[in-house]
Amino acid sequence: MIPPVSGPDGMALYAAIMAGGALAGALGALLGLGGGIFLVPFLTLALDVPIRQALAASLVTVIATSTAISSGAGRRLINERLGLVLEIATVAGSLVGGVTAVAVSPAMLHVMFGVCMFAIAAVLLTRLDARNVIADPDADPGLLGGRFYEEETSRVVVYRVTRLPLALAGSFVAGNVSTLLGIGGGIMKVPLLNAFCGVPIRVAAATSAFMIGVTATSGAVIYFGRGELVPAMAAAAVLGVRLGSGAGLRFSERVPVRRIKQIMILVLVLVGALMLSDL
Amino acid sequence: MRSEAATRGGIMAWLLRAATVVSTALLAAGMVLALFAPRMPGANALLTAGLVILMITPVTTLLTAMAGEAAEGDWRFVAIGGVVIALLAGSLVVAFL
Repeated sequence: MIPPVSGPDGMALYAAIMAGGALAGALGALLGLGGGIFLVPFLTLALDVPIRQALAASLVTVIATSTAISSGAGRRLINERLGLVLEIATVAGSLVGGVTAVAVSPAMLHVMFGVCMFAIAAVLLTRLDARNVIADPDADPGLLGGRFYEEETSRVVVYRVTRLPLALAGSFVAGNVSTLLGIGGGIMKVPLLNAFCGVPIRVAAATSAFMIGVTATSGAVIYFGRGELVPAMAAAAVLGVRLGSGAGLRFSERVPVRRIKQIMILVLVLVGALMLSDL
Repeated sequence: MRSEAATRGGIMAWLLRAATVVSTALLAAGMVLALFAPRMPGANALLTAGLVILMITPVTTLLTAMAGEAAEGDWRFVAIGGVVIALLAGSLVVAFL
């Protein structure tokens, strides 16, 4: 039960929600994630918020993180065409989430998700120094690739998207899982696009941020329509995200690509362990 | 072509920043009212308005991206964006039935 906003209990609770939102926003802005993967367990386990209210608040913060990244410096890195194509698979995956919920038990889902996190982390670990870029700025990026100014080398670089069917399959699974777990799905898309599909990590993060905002919108509106979105709680989380994402964006501009990948691997292992321990 | 893309990116960034500023201001004002003046009316309306603006923002960016593709004459990606919006609308219809 959520206490009234005013009063000492309410003040402490909403301050804690804002702090949780700030952490989720900082990590989200740094890695292109919505942050729901951190916020949902924090709200339900640490603050005893009912799961559906936690999922609703989480989806709104995913949108907040997405807009923060898309309107900031990361905007120039968004690959809109790739985002549009993958969003079809993501939304289709989220639509059949109900079918998966019946076919797969929650415990099995957690095992599959946890194992998947460890597998992606292992692949990312072997590709720490792979930059996925072509130094020739005049190279043809193909229909879904692109070019951008790379801060590390101070030059315009080109990248090509490879293994599109794998990216579509991964986005479908990410959409499916996002419905079931109340997350944006960036935790799967960013490392997948970078490790397997030739997309540089900063482009993968920015494009993922663009996509997860759209994906989370449908879920958030549904919760809102059903009266499960508690305005004050969602607002506290969103305001926290605003503070955290600003700090995360400033930090991300100074962090080398290799370090971003290392942080991503750490997050994948932690989330994978959390999933496997929650059986 | 490149300047059109830059203009489109600029419009998208402006829309996102405007939505961010307005929604944050509404949410902050609503929280201040709810925390420090709980007897004053309007807190819930401010919070709800802020959240609604936030929720429609990603769809606006999607539409902006589609408009940009249309301006460049690449109708394949306009159609793809249309499919995404149709799927989103379908999921809402299914959810509310």
